[in-house]
Amino acid sequence: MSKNWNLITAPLRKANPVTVLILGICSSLAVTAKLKPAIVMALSVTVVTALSNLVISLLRKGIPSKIRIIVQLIVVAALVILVDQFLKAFMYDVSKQLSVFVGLIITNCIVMGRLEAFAMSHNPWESLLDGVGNGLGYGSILVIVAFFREILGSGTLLGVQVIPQGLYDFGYINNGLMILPPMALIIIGIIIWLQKSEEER
Amino acid sequence: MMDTLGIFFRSIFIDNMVFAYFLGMCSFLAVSKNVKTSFGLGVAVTVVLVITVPVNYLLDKYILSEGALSWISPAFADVSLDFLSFIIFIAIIAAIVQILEMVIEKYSPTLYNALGIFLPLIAVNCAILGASLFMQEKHYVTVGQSLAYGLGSGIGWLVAIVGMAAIRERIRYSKIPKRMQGTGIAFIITGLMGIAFMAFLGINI
Amino acid sequence: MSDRYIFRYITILVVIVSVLLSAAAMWLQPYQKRNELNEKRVNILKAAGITDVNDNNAEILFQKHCTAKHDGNLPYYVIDDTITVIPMRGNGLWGPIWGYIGLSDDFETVVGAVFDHKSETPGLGAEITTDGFQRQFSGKELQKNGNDYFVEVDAIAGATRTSDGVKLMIKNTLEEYKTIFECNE
Repeated sequence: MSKNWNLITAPLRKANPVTVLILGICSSLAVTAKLKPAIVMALSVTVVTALSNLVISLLRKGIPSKIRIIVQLIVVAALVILVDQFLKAFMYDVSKQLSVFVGLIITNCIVMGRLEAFAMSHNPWESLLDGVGNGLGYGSILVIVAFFREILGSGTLLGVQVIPQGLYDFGYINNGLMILPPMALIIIGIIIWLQKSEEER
Repeated sequence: MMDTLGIFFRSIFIDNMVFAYFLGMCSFLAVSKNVKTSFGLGVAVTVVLVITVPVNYLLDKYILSEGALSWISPAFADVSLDFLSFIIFIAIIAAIVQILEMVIEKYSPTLYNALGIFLPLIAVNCAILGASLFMQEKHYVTVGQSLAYGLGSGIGWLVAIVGMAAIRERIRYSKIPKRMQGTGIAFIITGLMGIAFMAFLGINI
Repeated sequence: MSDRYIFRYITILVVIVSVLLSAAAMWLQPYQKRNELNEKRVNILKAAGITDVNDNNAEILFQKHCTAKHDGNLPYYVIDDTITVIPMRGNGLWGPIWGYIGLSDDFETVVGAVFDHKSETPGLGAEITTDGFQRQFSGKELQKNGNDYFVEVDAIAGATRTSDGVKLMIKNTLEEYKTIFECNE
Protein backbone atom coordinates (compact mmCIF):
# COMPACT_ATOMS: atom_id res chain seq x y z
CA MET A 1 0.00 0.00 0.00
CA SER A 2 2.67 2.48 0.97
CA LYS A 3 4.46 1.76 -2.27
CA ASN A 4 1.35 2.59 -4.24
CA TRP A 5 0.78 5.67 -2.14
CA ASN A 6 4.30 6.71 -2.95
CA LEU A 7 3.49 6.57 -6.66
CA ILE A 8 1.05 9.42 -6.13
CA THR A 9 3.00 11.50 -3.64
CA ALA A 10 6.51 11.33 -5.10
CA PRO A 11 5.65 13.37 -8.20
CA LEU A 12 4.18 16.08 -6.01
CA ARG A 13 7.56 17.02 -4.56
CA LYS A 14 10.69 14.89 -4.92
CA ALA A 15 10.09 13.80 -8.49
CA ASN A 16 7.93 16.69 -9.57
CA PRO A 17 7.71 16.53 -13.34
CA VAL A 18 7.95 20.29 -13.78
CA THR A 19 10.45 21.54 -11.26
CA VAL A 20 12.70 18.51 -10.96
CA LEU A 21 12.43 16.68 -14.27
CA ILE A 22 11.72 19.84 -16.31
CA LEU A 23 9.03 18.22 -18.40
CA GLY A 24 5.86 19.57 -19.82
CA ILE A 25 6.24 23.22 -19.12
CA CYS A 26 5.50 23.81 -22.73
CA SER A 27 1.87 23.70 -23.33
CA SER A 28 0.22 25.26 -20.41
CA LEU A 29 1.95 28.15 -18.77
CA ALA A 30 0.11 30.51 -21.05
CA VAL A 31 -3.09 29.55 -19.23
CA THR A 32 -1.82 30.52 -15.78
CA ALA A 33 -2.73 34.22 -15.85
CA LYS A 34 -5.95 33.32 -14.07
CA LEU A 35 -6.65 30.57 -11.55
CA LYS A 36 -9.78 29.04 -13.07
CA PRO A 37 -8.39 28.02 -16.46
CA ALA A 38 -5.27 26.76 -14.68
CA ILE A 39 -7.35 24.45 -12.48
CA VAL A 40 -9.32 23.12 -15.43
CA MET A 41 -6.08 22.61 -17.34
CA ALA A 42 -4.54 20.78 -14.36
CA LEU A 43 -7.53 18.44 -14.13
CA SER A 44 -7.55 17.84 -17.89
CA VAL A 45 -3.87 16.93 -17.86
CA THR A 46 -4.41 14.62 -14.87
CA VAL A 47 -7.26 12.84 -16.64
CA VAL A 48 -5.19 12.42 -19.78
CA THR A 49 -2.03 11.17 -18.04
CA ALA A 50 -3.99 8.78 -15.82
CA LEU A 51 -6.14 7.28 -18.57
CA SER A 52 -3.40 7.10 -21.19
CA ASN A 53 -1.12 5.40 -18.66
CA LEU A 54 -3.90 2.92 -17.91
CA VAL A 55 -4.71 2.18 -21.55
CA ILE A 56 -1.08 1.80 -22.62
CA SER A 57 -0.37 -0.41 -19.62
CA LEU A 58 -3.28 -2.65 -20.57
CA LEU A 59 -2.04 -2.84 -24.15
CA ARG A 60 1.66 -3.03 -23.29
CA LYS A 61 2.14 -6.75 -24.04
CA GLY A 62 0.57 -6.51 -27.48
CA ILE A 63 2.09 -3.29 -28.75
CA PRO A 64 4.65 -3.99 -31.47
CA SER A 65 7.76 -2.17 -30.28
CA LYS A 66 8.53 -0.76 -33.74
CA ILE A 67 5.43 1.37 -33.78
CA ARG A 68 4.96 2.00 -30.08
CA ILE A 69 5.42 5.76 -30.32
CA ILE A 70 2.69 5.98 -32.95
CA VAL A 71 0.37 3.81 -30.84
CA GLN A 72 1.02 6.00 -27.82
CA LEU A 73 0.37 9.15 -29.82
CA ILE A 74 -2.90 7.79 -31.15
CA VAL A 75 -4.13 6.86 -27.67
CA VAL A 76 -3.11 10.21 -26.19
CA ALA A 77 -4.53 12.21 -29.08
CA ALA A 78 -7.84 10.35 -28.86
CA LEU A 79 -8.12 11.02 -25.12
CA VAL A 80 -7.26 14.69 -25.59
CA ILE A 81 -9.91 15.02 -28.29
CA LEU A 82 -12.46 13.52 -25.89
CA VAL A 83 -11.46 15.97 -23.15
CA ASP A 84 -11.63 18.87 -25.60
CA GLN A 85 -15.07 17.86 -26.87
CA PHE A 86 -16.29 17.48 -23.30
CA LEU A 87 -15.06 20.91 -22.30
CA LYS A 88 -16.63 22.47 -25.37
CA ALA A 89 -19.94 20.82 -24.57
CA PHE A 90 -20.15 21.32 -20.81
CA MET A 91 -17.66 24.03 -19.81
CA TYR A 92 -17.91 26.31 -22.79
CA ASP A 93 -16.52 29.50 -21.26
CA VAL A 94 -13.41 27.81 -19.88
CA SER A 95 -12.82 25.93 -23.11
CA LYS A 96 -12.77 29.26 -24.91
CA GLN A 97 -10.06 30.55 -22.58
CA LEU A 98 -7.97 27.42 -22.98
CA SER A 99 -8.37 27.47 -26.78
CA VAL A 100 -5.58 25.57 -28.50
CA PHE A 101 -3.82 24.74 -25.26
CA VAL A 102 -6.08 21.75 -24.67
CA GLY A 103 -4.82 20.29 -27.94
CA LEU A 104 -1.28 20.88 -26.81
CA ILE A 105 -1.72 18.37 -23.98
CA ILE A 106 -0.91 15.81 -26.67
CA THR A 107 2.62 17.09 -26.89
CA ASN A 108 2.98 17.65 -23.18
CA CYS A 109 6.20 15.79 -22.50
CA ILE A 110 4.88 14.46 -19.20
CA VAL A 111 2.24 12.37 -20.89
CA MET A 112 4.55 10.70 -23.39
CA GLY A 113 7.37 10.60 -20.87
CA ARG A 114 5.35 8.63 -18.34
CA LEU A 115 4.08 6.25 -21.02
CA GLU A 116 7.61 5.42 -22.08
CA ALA A 117 9.20 5.41 -18.65
CA PHE A 118 6.46 3.81 -16.60
CA ALA A 119 3.34 2.45 -18.27
CA MET A 120 5.22 0.27 -20.76
CA SER A 121 6.72 -1.74 -17.90
CA HIS A 122 4.21 -1.67 -15.03
CA ASN A 123 0.80 -3.13 -14.32
CA PRO A 124 -2.37 -1.14 -15.01
CA TRP A 125 -3.19 -0.20 -11.40
CA GLU A 126 0.30 1.14 -10.69
CA SER A 127 0.30 2.96 -13.99
CA LEU A 128 -3.00 4.61 -13.23
CA LEU A 129 -1.70 5.83 -9.87
CA ASP A 130 1.52 7.03 -11.45
CA GLY A 131 -0.50 8.96 -14.01
CA VAL A 132 -2.67 10.57 -11.35
CA GLY A 133 0.39 11.50 -9.30
CA ASN A 134 2.23 13.07 -12.21
CA GLY A 135 -0.85 14.88 -13.42
CA LEU A 136 -1.35 16.34 -9.95
CA GLY A 137 2.33 17.17 -9.53
CA TYR A 138 2.17 19.10 -12.76
CA GLY A 139 -1.18 20.63 -11.89
CA SER A 140 0.02 21.77 -8.49
CA ILE A 141 2.72 23.90 -10.13
CA LEU A 142 0.19 25.37 -12.56
CA VAL A 143 -2.13 26.25 -9.70
CA ILE A 144 0.63 27.79 -7.58
CA VAL A 145 1.84 29.92 -10.48
CA ALA A 146 -1.71 30.95 -11.39
CA PHE A 147 -2.46 31.80 -7.74
CA PHE A 148 0.37 34.31 -7.55
CA ARG A 149 -0.20 35.72 -11.00
CA GLU A 150 -3.90 36.30 -10.42
CA ILE A 151 -3.67 37.72 -6.91
CA LEU A 152 -0.73 40.02 -7.66
CA GLY A 153 -1.69 40.83 -11.23
CA SER A 154 -5.44 41.34 -10.95
CA GLY A 155 -6.10 41.40 -7.20
CA THR A 156 -8.63 38.61 -7.62
CA LEU A 157 -8.83 34.88 -7.03
CA LEU A 158 -11.13 32.80 -9.25
CA GLY A 159 -12.49 36.14 -10.43
CA VAL A 160 -13.50 37.27 -6.92
CA GLN A 161 -11.88 40.46 -5.64
CA VAL A 162 -9.71 39.58 -2.62
CA ILE A 163 -7.44 42.59 -2.25
CA PRO A 164 -9.61 45.03 -0.29
CA GLN A 165 -10.59 48.35 -1.84
CA GLY A 166 -9.03 50.11 1.14
CA LEU A 167 -5.60 49.05 0.02
CA TYR A 168 -6.15 50.55 -3.41
CA ASP A 169 -7.25 53.77 -1.75
CA PHE A 170 -3.86 53.86 -0.07
CA GLY A 171 -2.27 53.81 -3.48
CA TYR A 172 -1.73 50.08 -4.01
CA ILE A 173 -1.95 49.09 -7.66
CA ASN A 174 -2.06 45.72 -9.36
CA ASN A 175 1.23 44.61 -10.80
CA GLY A 176 0.55 44.48 -14.53
CA LEU A 177 3.82 42.67 -15.15
CA MET A 178 2.50 39.56 -13.40
CA ILE A 179 -0.09 39.10 -16.09
CA LEU A 180 2.43 39.06 -18.90
CA PRO A 181 3.67 35.60 -19.93
CA PRO A 182 7.36 35.90 -18.91
CA MET A 183 6.47 36.22 -15.23
CA ALA A 184 5.23 32.63 -15.21
CA LEU A 185 8.76 31.46 -15.96
CA ILE A 186 10.29 33.66 -13.31
CA ILE A 187 7.83 32.32 -10.72
CA ILE A 188 8.77 28.76 -11.64
CA GLY A 189 12.43 29.69 -11.29
CA ILE A 190 11.72 30.88 -7.78
CA ILE A 191 9.72 27.74 -6.93
CA ILE A 192 12.65 25.59 -8.07
CA TRP A 193 14.98 27.66 -5.92
CA LEU A 194 12.80 27.25 -2.82
CA GLN A 195 12.39 23.55 -3.44
CA LYS A 196 16.12 23.01 -3.80
CA SER A 197 16.89 25.00 -0.68
CA GLU A 198 14.40 23.00 1.31
CA GLU A 199 15.72 19.66 0.11
CA GLU A 200 19.26 20.52 1.09
CA ARG A 201 18.24 21.40 4.58
CA MET B 1 2.33 40.04 -50.31
CA MET B 2 2.70 42.62 -47.53
CA ASP B 3 0.43 40.45 -45.47
CA THR B 4 2.58 37.38 -45.93
CA LEU B 5 5.69 39.32 -45.00
CA GLY B 6 3.90 40.71 -41.98
CA ILE B 7 2.95 37.22 -40.82
CA PHE B 8 6.56 36.14 -41.24
CA PHE B 9 8.04 38.90 -39.08
CA ARG B 10 5.22 38.79 -36.56
CA SER B 11 5.78 35.12 -35.94
CA ILE B 12 9.52 35.61 -35.39
CA PHE B 13 9.40 38.53 -32.99
CA ILE B 14 5.95 39.22 -31.63
CA ASP B 15 4.23 35.85 -31.52
CA ASN B 16 7.49 34.10 -30.65
CA MET B 17 6.78 30.44 -29.89
CA VAL B 18 8.99 30.36 -26.81
CA PHE B 19 8.51 33.76 -25.25
CA ALA B 20 4.87 34.44 -26.00
CA TYR B 21 3.42 30.93 -25.78
CA PHE B 22 6.05 28.85 -23.92
CA LEU B 23 6.00 26.25 -26.67
CA GLY B 24 8.84 23.82 -27.12
CA MET B 25 10.16 24.51 -23.65
CA CYS B 26 11.24 20.96 -22.84
CA SER B 27 13.82 20.69 -25.56
CA PHE B 28 14.52 24.41 -25.25
CA LEU B 29 15.77 23.96 -21.70
CA ALA B 30 17.35 20.57 -22.19
CA VAL B 31 19.38 21.30 -25.32
CA SER B 32 20.33 24.94 -24.85
CA LYS B 33 23.60 24.15 -23.12
CA ASN B 34 25.83 24.96 -26.05
CA VAL B 35 25.35 27.03 -29.14
CA LYS B 36 26.31 24.40 -31.69
CA THR B 37 23.75 21.75 -30.73
CA SER B 38 21.13 24.42 -30.18
CA PHE B 39 21.64 25.69 -33.68
CA GLY B 40 21.27 22.15 -35.05
CA LEU B 41 18.05 21.55 -33.19
CA GLY B 42 16.76 24.98 -34.15
CA VAL B 43 17.36 24.25 -37.81
CA ALA B 44 15.68 20.85 -37.48
CA VAL B 45 12.64 22.43 -35.84
CA THR B 46 12.48 25.09 -38.57
CA VAL B 47 12.65 22.47 -41.32
CA VAL B 48 9.93 20.39 -39.69
CA LEU B 49 7.71 23.46 -39.25
CA VAL B 50 8.21 24.58 -42.84
CA ILE B 51 6.97 21.20 -44.05
CA THR B 52 4.26 20.40 -41.52
CA VAL B 53 2.43 23.72 -41.26
CA PRO B 54 1.56 24.01 -44.99
CA VAL B 55 0.71 20.29 -45.20
CA ASN B 56 -1.61 20.58 -42.23
CA TYR B 57 -3.01 23.78 -43.69
CA LEU B 58 -4.02 21.97 -46.86
CA LEU B 59 -5.50 19.09 -44.85
CA ASP B 60 -7.46 21.54 -42.74
CA LYS B 61 -8.71 23.47 -45.72
CA TYR B 62 -9.71 20.57 -47.92
CA ILE B 63 -10.64 17.82 -45.48
CA LEU B 64 -11.14 18.80 -41.87
CA SER B 65 -12.89 22.13 -41.42
CA GLU B 66 -16.60 22.62 -41.74
CA GLY B 67 -17.77 22.43 -45.35
CA ALA B 68 -14.26 21.58 -46.51
CA LEU B 69 -15.35 18.36 -48.15
CA SER B 70 -17.71 20.12 -50.53
CA TRP B 71 -15.13 19.82 -53.30
CA ILE B 72 -15.99 16.12 -53.46
CA SER B 73 -19.69 16.62 -53.56
CA PRO B 74 -22.02 19.43 -52.42
CA ALA B 75 -23.75 16.89 -50.20
CA PHE B 76 -20.85 17.10 -47.77
CA ALA B 77 -21.25 20.85 -47.32
CA ASP B 78 -22.06 20.70 -43.62
CA VAL B 79 -19.84 17.83 -42.63
CA SER B 80 -17.20 18.97 -40.17
CA LEU B 81 -14.33 16.69 -39.29
CA ASP B 82 -12.90 19.35 -37.04
CA PHE B 83 -12.78 17.01 -34.06
CA LEU B 84 -10.24 14.83 -35.85
CA SER B 85 -7.75 17.63 -36.41
CA PHE B 86 -5.59 16.96 -33.33
CA ILE B 87 -5.04 13.34 -34.23
CA ILE B 88 -4.47 13.97 -37.94
CA PHE B 89 -2.05 16.83 -37.30
CA ILE B 90 0.02 14.83 -34.86
CA ALA B 91 0.07 11.79 -37.15
CA ILE B 92 1.32 13.91 -40.06
CA ILE B 93 3.95 15.50 -37.83
CA ALA B 94 5.14 12.14 -36.51
CA ALA B 95 5.42 10.76 -40.03
CA ILE B 96 7.34 13.76 -41.35
CA VAL B 97 9.73 13.73 -38.38
CA GLN B 98 10.35 10.02 -38.92
CA ILE B 99 11.26 10.59 -42.55
CA LEU B 100 13.47 13.54 -41.68
CA GLU B 101 15.24 11.48 -39.05
CA MET B 102 16.07 8.78 -41.55
CA VAL B 103 17.35 11.35 -44.03
CA ILE B 104 19.59 13.08 -41.48
CA GLU B 105 20.92 9.76 -40.25
CA LYS B 106 21.87 8.85 -43.77
CA TYR B 107 23.45 12.09 -44.91
CA SER B 108 24.87 13.69 -41.78
CA PRO B 109 25.89 11.22 -39.09
CA THR B 110 27.62 13.99 -37.13
CA LEU B 111 24.45 16.01 -36.81
CA TYR B 112 22.58 12.84 -36.03
CA ASN B 113 24.97 12.02 -33.21
CA ALA B 114 24.87 15.54 -31.86
CA LEU B 115 21.12 15.65 -31.63
CA GLY B 116 20.91 12.12 -30.25
CA ILE B 117 17.66 11.44 -28.52
CA PHE B 118 16.19 14.84 -29.29
CA LEU B 119 15.24 14.09 -32.86
CA PRO B 120 12.40 11.76 -31.91
CA LEU B 121 11.42 14.37 -29.34
CA ILE B 122 10.75 16.84 -32.13
CA ALA B 123 7.58 14.89 -32.89
CA VAL B 124 6.30 15.72 -29.44
CA ASN B 125 7.81 19.20 -29.42
CA CYS B 126 4.90 21.42 -28.50
CA ALA B 127 6.11 24.13 -30.84
CA ILE B 128 5.47 21.89 -33.83
CA LEU B 129 1.91 20.87 -32.98
CA GLY B 130 1.32 24.33 -31.54
CA ALA B 131 2.21 26.00 -34.83
CA SER B 132 -0.30 23.83 -36.67
CA LEU B 133 -3.03 24.52 -34.15
CA PHE B 134 -2.40 28.28 -34.17
CA MET B 135 -2.32 28.15 -37.96
CA GLN B 136 -5.76 26.50 -37.89
CA GLU B 137 -7.07 29.14 -35.51
CA LYS B 138 -5.77 32.08 -37.50
CA HIS B 139 -7.63 31.15 -40.69
CA TYR B 140 -4.92 31.99 -43.19
CA VAL B 141 -6.10 32.54 -46.70
CA THR B 142 -3.28 31.12 -48.80
CA VAL B 143 -0.72 28.33 -48.55
CA GLY B 144 1.94 31.04 -48.82
CA GLN B 145 0.75 32.63 -45.60
CA SER B 146 0.83 29.34 -43.74
CA LEU B 147 4.31 28.72 -45.13
CA ALA B 148 5.41 32.16 -43.92
CA TYR B 149 3.97 31.38 -40.53
CA GLY B 150 5.75 28.02 -40.32
CA LEU B 151 9.08 29.49 -41.42
CA GLY B 152 8.76 32.51 -39.14
CA SER B 153 7.85 30.41 -36.10
CA GLY B 154 10.79 28.11 -36.77
CA ILE B 155 13.24 30.99 -37.08
CA GLY B 156 11.75 32.58 -33.96
CA TRP B 157 12.37 29.36 -32.08
CA LEU B 158 15.89 29.11 -33.50
CA VAL B 159 16.69 32.67 -32.44
CA ALA B 160 15.36 31.98 -28.97
CA ILE B 161 17.29 28.77 -28.38
CA VAL B 162 20.58 30.05 -29.82
CA GLY B 163 20.33 33.21 -27.74
CA MET B 164 19.59 31.17 -24.68
CA ALA B 165 22.52 28.82 -25.33
CA ALA B 166 24.88 31.76 -25.77
CA ILE B 167 23.79 33.22 -22.45
CA ARG B 168 24.13 29.87 -20.73
CA GLU B 169 27.65 29.40 -22.09
CA ARG B 170 28.62 32.72 -20.57
CA ILE B 171 26.83 32.20 -17.32
CA ARG B 172 29.07 29.31 -16.42
CA TYR B 173 31.62 31.85 -15.30
CA SER B 174 29.27 33.96 -13.23
CA LYS B 175 28.50 33.70 -9.57
CA ILE B 176 24.98 32.42 -9.17
CA PRO B 177 23.46 31.47 -5.82
CA LYS B 178 24.19 27.77 -5.46
CA ARG B 179 20.60 26.58 -5.32
CA MET B 180 19.65 28.73 -8.25
CA GLN B 181 22.17 27.08 -10.56
CA GLY B 182 21.05 24.97 -13.49
CA THR B 183 17.35 24.93 -14.12
CA GLY B 184 16.34 27.65 -11.72
CA ILE B 185 18.42 30.32 -13.39
CA ALA B 186 17.51 28.95 -16.83
CA PHE B 187 13.84 29.67 -16.17
CA ILE B 188 14.59 33.14 -14.95
CA ILE B 189 16.77 33.91 -17.97
CA THR B 190 13.99 32.75 -20.25
CA GLY B 191 11.59 35.01 -18.42
CA LEU B 192 13.91 37.99 -18.77
CA MET B 193 14.46 37.28 -22.46
CA GLY B 194 10.69 37.14 -22.80
CA ILE B 195 10.36 40.57 -21.23
CA ALA B 196 13.02 41.87 -23.63
CA PHE B 197 11.07 40.45 -26.57
CA MET B 198 7.97 42.26 -25.39
CA ALA B 199 9.64 45.40 -26.69
CA PHE B 200 8.53 44.27 -30.14
CA LEU B 201 4.94 44.22 -28.97
CA GLY B 202 4.10 47.77 -29.92
CA ILE B 203 5.30 47.36 -33.49
CA ASN B 204 2.42 47.17 -35.88
CA ILE B 205 3.19 44.89 -38.79
CA MET C 1 6.63 -9.71 -34.47
CA SER C 2 5.77 -9.88 -38.12
CA ASP C 3 4.82 -6.98 -40.31
CA ARG C 4 1.42 -8.53 -40.76
CA TYR C 5 0.82 -8.38 -37.03
CA ILE C 6 1.87 -4.73 -36.92
CA PHE C 7 -0.38 -3.89 -39.82
CA ARG C 8 -3.36 -5.69 -38.31
CA TYR C 9 -2.72 -4.11 -34.91
CA ILE C 10 -2.60 -0.57 -36.17
CA THR C 11 -5.65 -1.05 -38.39
CA ILE C 12 -7.75 -2.35 -35.51
CA LEU C 13 -6.53 0.45 -33.25
CA VAL C 14 -7.34 3.14 -35.78
CA VAL C 15 -10.81 1.71 -36.42
CA ILE C 16 -11.62 1.53 -32.70
CA VAL C 17 -10.34 5.05 -32.07
CA SER C 18 -12.19 6.58 -35.00
CA VAL C 19 -15.48 4.89 -34.07
CA LEU C 20 -15.10 6.09 -30.50
CA LEU C 21 -14.28 9.65 -31.49
CA SER C 22 -17.06 9.89 -34.05
CA ALA C 23 -19.56 8.58 -31.52
CA ALA C 24 -18.41 11.14 -28.95
CA ALA C 25 -18.51 13.94 -31.49
CA MET C 26 -22.03 13.04 -32.59
CA TRP C 27 -23.22 12.79 -29.00
CA LEU C 28 -21.67 16.06 -27.88
CA GLN C 29 -22.24 18.18 -30.97
CA PRO C 30 -25.81 19.27 -30.07
CA TYR C 31 -24.52 20.57 -26.73
CA GLN C 32 -21.67 22.43 -28.39
CA LYS C 33 -23.95 23.97 -31.01
CA ARG C 34 -26.34 25.01 -28.28
CA ASN C 35 -23.53 26.63 -26.31
CA GLU C 36 -22.45 28.66 -29.32
CA LEU C 37 -26.00 29.77 -30.07
CA ASN C 38 -26.74 30.59 -26.46
CA GLU C 39 -23.61 32.65 -26.18
CA LYS C 40 -24.76 34.72 -29.13
CA ARG C 41 -28.24 35.12 -27.65
CA VAL C 42 -26.91 36.13 -24.24
CA ASN C 43 -24.63 38.69 -25.88
CA ILE C 44 -27.42 40.21 -27.96
CA LEU C 45 -29.76 40.45 -24.98
CA LYS C 46 -27.05 41.95 -22.81
CA ALA C 47 -26.26 44.55 -25.44
CA ALA C 48 -29.94 45.46 -25.37
CA GLY C 49 -29.62 46.24 -21.69
CA ILE C 50 -31.29 43.09 -20.37
CA THR C 51 -28.91 42.09 -17.60
CA ASP C 52 -30.44 39.05 -15.93
CA VAL C 53 -29.82 36.62 -18.77
CA ASN C 54 -27.92 33.40 -18.39
CA ASP C 55 -27.44 30.21 -20.35
CA ASN C 56 -30.69 28.75 -19.06
CA ASN C 57 -33.16 31.47 -19.89
CA ALA C 58 -31.44 32.88 -22.97
CA GLU C 59 -33.41 30.81 -25.44
CA ILE C 60 -36.83 31.72 -24.00
CA LEU C 61 -36.01 35.40 -23.57
CA PHE C 62 -34.54 35.61 -27.03
CA GLN C 63 -37.62 34.16 -28.67
CA LYS C 64 -39.88 36.41 -26.65
CA HIS C 65 -38.13 39.72 -27.27
CA CYS C 66 -35.98 39.45 -30.30
CA THR C 67 -36.50 39.58 -34.05
CA ALA C 68 -33.68 39.10 -36.46
CA LYS C 69 -33.70 41.50 -39.40
CA HIS C 70 -31.35 42.48 -42.13
CA ASP C 71 -30.64 45.37 -44.40
CA GLY C 72 -29.20 44.06 -47.61
CA ASN C 73 -26.71 41.60 -46.20
CA LEU C 74 -26.16 43.45 -42.94
CA PRO C 75 -27.82 41.51 -40.14
CA TYR C 76 -29.16 43.20 -37.03
CA TYR C 77 -31.61 42.43 -34.24
CA VAL C 78 -34.56 44.39 -32.91
CA ILE C 79 -35.58 43.87 -29.28
CA ASP C 80 -39.16 44.67 -28.26
CA ASP C 81 -39.49 46.85 -31.39
CA THR C 82 -37.41 49.56 -29.74
CA ILE C 83 -33.77 48.66 -29.31
CA THR C 84 -31.56 47.84 -32.26
CA VAL C 85 -28.61 45.54 -31.65
CA ILE C 86 -25.84 45.58 -34.23
CA PRO C 87 -23.05 42.99 -34.47
CA MET C 88 -19.50 44.33 -34.70
CA ARG C 89 -16.18 42.96 -35.91
CA GLY C 90 -12.73 44.45 -35.64
CA ASN C 91 -9.13 43.93 -34.65
CA GLY C 92 -7.48 44.15 -31.26
CA LEU C 93 -3.78 43.95 -30.59
CA TRP C 94 -3.25 40.23 -31.14
CA GLY C 95 -6.21 39.12 -33.14
CA PRO C 96 -9.87 39.64 -33.95
CA ILE C 97 -12.31 41.22 -31.50
CA TRP C 98 -16.06 41.32 -31.88
CA GLY C 99 -19.19 42.26 -30.02
CA TYR C 100 -22.67 43.75 -30.13
CA ILE C 101 -23.84 47.27 -29.53
CA GLY C 102 -27.42 48.17 -28.62
CA LEU C 103 -28.94 51.51 -29.66
CA SER C 104 -32.10 53.20 -28.41
CA ASP C 105 -35.05 53.70 -30.76
CA ASP C 106 -34.09 57.27 -31.61
CA PHE C 107 -30.54 56.07 -32.27
CA GLU C 108 -29.16 58.75 -30.00
CA THR C 109 -27.96 56.77 -27.01
CA VAL C 110 -26.17 53.49 -26.52
CA VAL C 111 -28.16 51.03 -24.41
CA GLY C 112 -25.38 48.56 -23.86
CA ALA C 113 -22.44 46.80 -25.45
CA VAL C 114 -20.67 43.47 -25.14
CA PHE C 115 -17.25 42.53 -26.44
CA ASP C 116 -15.28 39.39 -26.88
CA HIS C 117 -11.89 38.56 -28.28
CA LYS C 118 -9.77 35.73 -29.53
CA SER C 119 -6.35 36.33 -28.03
CA GLU C 120 -5.97 39.63 -26.20
CA THR C 121 -3.63 39.66 -23.21
CA PRO C 122 -5.39 38.29 -20.12
CA GLY C 123 -5.79 41.04 -17.53
CA LEU C 124 -5.05 43.81 -20.03
CA GLY C 125 -6.76 43.76 -23.41
CA ALA C 126 -8.92 40.85 -22.31
CA GLU C 127 -10.59 43.16 -19.79
CA ILE C 128 -12.91 44.30 -22.58
CA THR C 129 -15.02 41.26 -21.77
CA THR C 130 -15.60 42.34 -18.16
CA ASP C 131 -18.75 44.05 -16.90
CA GLY C 132 -16.64 46.90 -15.59
CA PHE C 133 -15.55 47.90 -19.06
CA GLN C 134 -18.87 47.17 -20.75
CA ARG C 135 -21.03 48.96 -18.19
CA GLN C 136 -19.64 52.37 -19.13
CA PHE C 137 -21.30 52.13 -22.53
CA SER C 138 -24.89 52.09 -21.31
CA GLY C 139 -26.45 55.54 -21.42
CA LYS C 140 -23.60 57.00 -23.47
CA GLU C 141 -24.64 59.46 -26.12
CA LEU C 142 -23.95 58.62 -29.71
CA GLN C 143 -21.91 61.54 -30.97
CA LYS C 144 -21.41 62.79 -34.46
CA ASN C 145 -18.31 64.33 -35.90
CA GLY C 146 -18.83 65.28 -39.51
CA ASN C 147 -19.97 62.02 -41.01
CA ASP C 148 -18.50 59.78 -38.32
CA TYR C 149 -20.45 58.44 -35.42
CA PHE C 150 -18.50 57.61 -32.32
CA VAL C 151 -18.83 56.92 -28.61
CA GLU C 152 -16.62 58.50 -25.98
CA VAL C 153 -15.15 55.76 -23.77
CA ASP C 154 -12.34 55.36 -21.27
CA ALA C 155 -9.44 53.24 -22.46
CA ILE C 156 -8.17 50.37 -20.34
CA ALA C 157 -4.92 51.25 -18.62
CA GLY C 158 -2.08 49.36 -20.25
CA ALA C 159 -4.17 48.19 -23.15
CA THR C 160 -4.26 51.21 -25.44
CA ARG C 161 -4.10 49.15 -28.62
CA THR C 162 -7.06 47.00 -27.70
CA SER C 163 -9.08 50.02 -26.56
CA ASP C 164 -8.30 51.81 -29.83
CA GLY C 165 -9.39 48.66 -31.63
CA VAL C 166 -12.72 48.79 -29.81
CA LYS C 167 -13.25 52.44 -30.72
CA LEU C 168 -12.35 51.87 -34.33
CA MET C 169 -14.63 48.84 -34.47
CA ILE C 170 -17.58 50.87 -33.18
CA LYS C 171 -16.89 53.69 -35.62
CA ASN C 172 -16.56 51.39 -38.61
CA THR C 173 -19.65 49.40 -37.72
CA LEU C 174 -21.83 52.47 -37.26
CA GLU C 175 -20.50 53.81 -40.56
CA GLU C 176 -21.50 50.59 -42.25
CA TYR C 177 -24.98 50.50 -40.72
CA LYS C 178 -25.63 54.20 -41.25
CA THR C 179 -28.48 53.52 -43.63
CA ILE C 180 -30.61 51.78 -40.98
CA PHE C 181 -30.71 54.62 -38.60
CA GLU C 182 -30.62 57.46 -41.01
CA CYS C 183 -33.78 56.34 -42.76
CA ASN C 184 -35.43 55.84 -39.39
CA GLU C 185 -34.59 59.31 -38.20
